[in-house]
Amino acid sequence: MLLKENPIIFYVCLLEIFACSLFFLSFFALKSPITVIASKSDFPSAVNEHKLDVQDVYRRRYNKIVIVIVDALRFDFIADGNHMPFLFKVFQNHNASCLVSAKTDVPTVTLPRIKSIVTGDVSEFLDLILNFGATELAQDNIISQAVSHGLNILFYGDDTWLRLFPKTFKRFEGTTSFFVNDFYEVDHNVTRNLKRELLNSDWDVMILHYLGLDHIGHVEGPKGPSIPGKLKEMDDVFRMIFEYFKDLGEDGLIILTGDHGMKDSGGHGGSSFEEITVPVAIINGGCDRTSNGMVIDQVDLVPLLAISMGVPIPAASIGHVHPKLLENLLQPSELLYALYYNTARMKSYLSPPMDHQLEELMSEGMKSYASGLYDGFKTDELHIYERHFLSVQKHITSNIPRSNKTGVSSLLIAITLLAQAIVCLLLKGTTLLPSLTSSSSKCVRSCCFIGTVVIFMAGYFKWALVCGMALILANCYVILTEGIDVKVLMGINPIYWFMLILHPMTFLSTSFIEEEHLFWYTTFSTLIVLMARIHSRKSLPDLALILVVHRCLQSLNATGIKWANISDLGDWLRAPENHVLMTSYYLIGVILTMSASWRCASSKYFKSILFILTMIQGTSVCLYYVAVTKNCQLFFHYPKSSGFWEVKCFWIATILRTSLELRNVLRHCVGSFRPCRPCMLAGVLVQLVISTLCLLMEPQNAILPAAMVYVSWRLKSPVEDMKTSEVLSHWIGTVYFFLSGNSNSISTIDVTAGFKGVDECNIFFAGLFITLHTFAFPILAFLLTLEHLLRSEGGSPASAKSRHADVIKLHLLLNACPTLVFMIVSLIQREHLFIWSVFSPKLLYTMCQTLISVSMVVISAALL
Amino acid sequence: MVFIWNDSQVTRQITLVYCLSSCAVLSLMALLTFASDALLIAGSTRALPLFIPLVLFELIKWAVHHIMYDRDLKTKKSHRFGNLSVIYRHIDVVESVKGIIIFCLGTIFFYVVAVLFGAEILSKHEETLMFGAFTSLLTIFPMTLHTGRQAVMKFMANQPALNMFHKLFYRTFQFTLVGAWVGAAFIPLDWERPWQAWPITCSFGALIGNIMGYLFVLVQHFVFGAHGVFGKKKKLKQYNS
Repeated sequence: MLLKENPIIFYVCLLEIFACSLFFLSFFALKSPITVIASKSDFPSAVNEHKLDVQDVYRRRYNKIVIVIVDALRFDFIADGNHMPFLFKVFQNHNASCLVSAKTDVPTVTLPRIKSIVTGDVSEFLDLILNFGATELAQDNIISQAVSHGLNILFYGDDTWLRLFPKTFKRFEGTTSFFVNDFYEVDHNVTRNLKRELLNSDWDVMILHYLGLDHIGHVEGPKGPSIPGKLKEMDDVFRMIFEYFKDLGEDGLIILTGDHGMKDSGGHGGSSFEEITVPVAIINGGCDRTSNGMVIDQVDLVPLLAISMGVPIPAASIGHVHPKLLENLLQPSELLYALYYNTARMKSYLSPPMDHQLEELMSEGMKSYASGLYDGFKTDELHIYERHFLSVQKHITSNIPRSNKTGVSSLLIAITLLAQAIVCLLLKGTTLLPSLTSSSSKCVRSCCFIGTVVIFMAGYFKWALVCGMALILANCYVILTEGIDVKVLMGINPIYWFMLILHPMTFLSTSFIEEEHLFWYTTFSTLIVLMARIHSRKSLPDLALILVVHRCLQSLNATGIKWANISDLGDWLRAPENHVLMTSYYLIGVILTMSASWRCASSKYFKSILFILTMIQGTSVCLYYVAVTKNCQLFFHYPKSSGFWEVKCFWIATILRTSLELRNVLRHCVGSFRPCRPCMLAGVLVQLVISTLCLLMEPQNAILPAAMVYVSWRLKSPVEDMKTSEVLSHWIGTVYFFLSGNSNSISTIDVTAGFKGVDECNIFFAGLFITLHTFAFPILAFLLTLEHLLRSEGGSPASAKSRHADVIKLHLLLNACPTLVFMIVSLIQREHLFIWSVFSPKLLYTMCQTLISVSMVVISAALL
Repeated sequence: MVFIWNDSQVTRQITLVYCLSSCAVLSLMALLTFASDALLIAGSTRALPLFIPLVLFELIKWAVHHIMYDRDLKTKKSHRFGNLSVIYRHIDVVESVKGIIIFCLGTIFFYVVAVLFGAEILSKHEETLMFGAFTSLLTIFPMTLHTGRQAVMKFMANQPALNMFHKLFYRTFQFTLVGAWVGAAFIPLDWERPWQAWPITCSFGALIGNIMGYLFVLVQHFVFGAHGVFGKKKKLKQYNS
């Protein structure tokens, strides 16, 4: 019905989907990689007519190199000395060892970090999404360099590496990173192979990637009870390798590092200090105790490894050579050669030609290098020879462009399309079909036609640009002739509008983007207070209670960046000594949430069976948590397990319940019967979402769905106007999105939600559940509004229909407007220092939210 | 101590004097605290001495009102103390104690409001309490002092103001809260300044909001009001005819 009468809404949905995907793809366009493969012919053979013996100064330094990568190894795990005592003792007593800290790039997830470690290139933000679907790495990298120069490489650990390098390793075994609840098996598989390989001698480089620590972090956080045991295990692995080299009587290089860090809340992906700081432990290297505490970049590992292996440094590497880390390994002349080689390589591949300052610095450096070669290097004055090269390196890396300059035109087209979507939503006379055929809307139709043309032309940038211009003109013309319809905006208190306009204005400050939750929390409290002034005294106790509940829930999950690490109620509840409180709190949460889901879909038939099914759902969710976590304990002993059958039980009960309710709706709801069929269907949907959330939510968040349903019922009950209640539900949805611990940083996405009680990996379901878990509350808020809307039938069918259309339009508008503003802001700020750490994740969230709002509209269209 | 006025000449005079003096003195205070480091201790009890000039200033204003009001009523003065006898007559110990209790209740009220709007529950009690006391000093204290207990109760019960002078306190109350609300927006910014701490920006915002409230009333009544520069003279003419 909605489709027939409001084709414009579907046109708007199409525009939004297209504009978002176009903007997304062109903003995060994969930059054209440097396709050159470095080779031995790149080695400079002379400096200022002074011939060099390359074979001698740049050669393989180690017979054996072991690289141990421990996923999510934070700097303080090693640096505090308690967790890995053997390793820490080595730094204190062993000569050629040091512990430095490395800054990683964003996003801090495994795939882009591995790519950085092997290629030394700047990370792609899009790698975040490809994290689970990596393909073969075509770019020049240290692994393929080593293999092509005859080194035998072994690999054991995360199978992401095997997807990047399918045929490269001599022997390998992958472990999968999907099952975050598997703490020990993944690492035992690696260590078992390590023990076997230490008996062989046919390898040159061995790479180990341990995943267990990351899994523990996701589930328990960095202060969890399993962390010390896991770090001790890593310490033992290190001891095994260290003692192997000791027995062998040769100094093999051992590098132990993390690919990324871990937030205090356990996640990673963002750009906080704990996430981007990883330790790099270099054992038997070229450094000594004095380099302890040095700060390098993660990409600096690439030249270090290349120099140790004696292979060319990968072409796209932006890594620096740090003389201090190589001093004890190389002679001064060799060290300077390595530095010179890396600098010259960076200059030829990475910097724009004809940079006078750079040329000057480089020739100065070469002059002093040549003079050193001629006179012999004075060991204590090495830094004099080095300093010019070092400043050239710094200069080049600081001038690498941050964004892709080619995509601007398609970004503009995406913005134009979204603007047209908003114009369409605001136009007069687009609500009902008859007016669309009238003469006054001819220009609207032609405008839509141009929009469609732009969509199809998007492949050809020149034409699309011209069409985009035409679209802007057509939109202006339509607005001038038709006038903007304020009917959608009318009937809502101006205070709400003030707050809604304030929201996009906060995008101007990166801190407000990082701490967006504060905006929503504060404005929500303000709204409640203002509502208390607007509405009658009867609703006052309700509003006060809502305010108190809102404040209490705020302390449940600390989120954002600045205050994310302060201990919150959730941390306190998760502490082992509070397990009794935690269990009772969790039980109350599940009971409340299940009763909310029971009330949302109240059927008249088979009540007792449905009730039993609801009980089964609740019980199996509780038992699942008791089985998998250590924090929840019942008064009787319940065996610990992976909780497969509990979750299966839950799903069976959910499917049975939903299908029984659907049957009730379809059989017993006839048109004359109130509440009508669409309303009941919406109720069943709400029930399904709440029940699923009950399983997916973390224990401390189990109460949130119930709280949200309560708040949205009580808050909307004094409001008669449907549009105001849609604005309110938008507010509630966003507030609860942040209350459940989300933020505009990638690290707060809870990946464990995707793998609850599954015994085999299904990427589709995992993605679905992670999305549902993250955007649960905006979805739930809209479904509740929909149910409310359908329940409050009144007046003639025609007016009811126009009311539905108004609410749907408003919903689209509320999501599209901030997206449009944010698109423009990120277009303007695309050279901003924080473009990858602040703007890009927020862009990702905004796009997802818009797409979800569109899909919600499509679902509602099926119901209306 | 309760005044029940209509918008008479003397009410207007008193409101004018009150607004002008408050604007001047509070702005001076805001400037001084902004220029010195006094701002940074807004969250600790060390800032309590700073409250004394504010309290004294309110008391002086209170005295001035009574002198102006009594002069208007042409009350007979006792010869011994002159104007001061007027003040002496208006001092009521029981009412003062009740006023102080209302001030404390106001502090608690603002404390609760601050917590509900996101101030920390388990820590920073001192800061939140100081914020509550300061905001209460800016709003509830003058209201109690000048318009009396009943008027505050009426305000709390959301009843309309009696006259211009009472309305003044309603306005400043609203403006102070809005000022504190806006002040909170500075805390999350990443400027790394020492004053970006709870409750410094909020207290300062409340002070600025308070001044804005007085300015607003000034402009509303004495620039655009019935007797103001841009005021409508029609009513006067009607009266004259």
